[in-house]
Amino acid sequence: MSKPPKRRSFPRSKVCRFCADSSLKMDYKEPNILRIFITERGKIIPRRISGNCAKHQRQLTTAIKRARNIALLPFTVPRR
Amino acid sequence: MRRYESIVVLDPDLHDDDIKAFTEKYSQLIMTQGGEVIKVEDWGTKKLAYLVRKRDKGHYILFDYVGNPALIFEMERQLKISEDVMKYLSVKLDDEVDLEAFKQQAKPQEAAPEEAPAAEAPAAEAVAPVETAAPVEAVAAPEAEAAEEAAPAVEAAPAEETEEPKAVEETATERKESENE
Repeated sequence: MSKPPKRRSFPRSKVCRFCADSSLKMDYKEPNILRIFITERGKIIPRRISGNCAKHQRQLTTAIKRARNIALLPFTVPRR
Repeated sequence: MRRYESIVVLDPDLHDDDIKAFTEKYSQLIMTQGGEVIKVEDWGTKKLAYLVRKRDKGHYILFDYVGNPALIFEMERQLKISEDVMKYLSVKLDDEVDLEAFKQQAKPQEAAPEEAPAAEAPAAEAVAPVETAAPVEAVAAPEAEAAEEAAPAVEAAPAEETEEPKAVEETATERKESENE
């Protein structure tokens, strides 16, 4: 069965990266890993785009929010 | 007893002696309140994601310890008072930690200081399993966490390197300020 042609087709990973790769540790002390899951403006990338599973997305959200609190990640990135 | 983790962001202009005194003071506090320090990590001076007290840098220190809720209360109270502390965050890692188990783990830690902290984490989460399960975990743990072990080490090194250029930068900015005046 071929896919019906759709207008909106953006690249999207369908597998949760934390489930697929057990070495990828989710920790608020690792801003460089968390940075993958935020936009350039510092927003958390939604699950429907990042493809994370619900459990890991929840953990990710807390991790990012903690990292923001101790200035490891930005709350916002102001436009120049 | 619970296991906690506190990250403290200190004023980047503090001297090394002050930072040493600071870590000493809070380690002492944990001990006097009946807790146990598992580890203290000095991340060095890092760039902040946003300005805190009009500064763009901060000195990060991580405390990992076991204690009662009363300890956290006292700890945070003192951190709030301290002028040098720009930010802090305390996280509860684990409810119900057996202090004796940690003391026993502290002994092999002396023999293998590099592997012990890594092996501690999985062991701490599974306090319930029988002693015989520990070696199996210990074998699996270093493999999985070897990469993680390497990561902080790499992070620590550049932080130290940045300290010297930072001192130069500071004098440079001071000069600029004086020029502006």
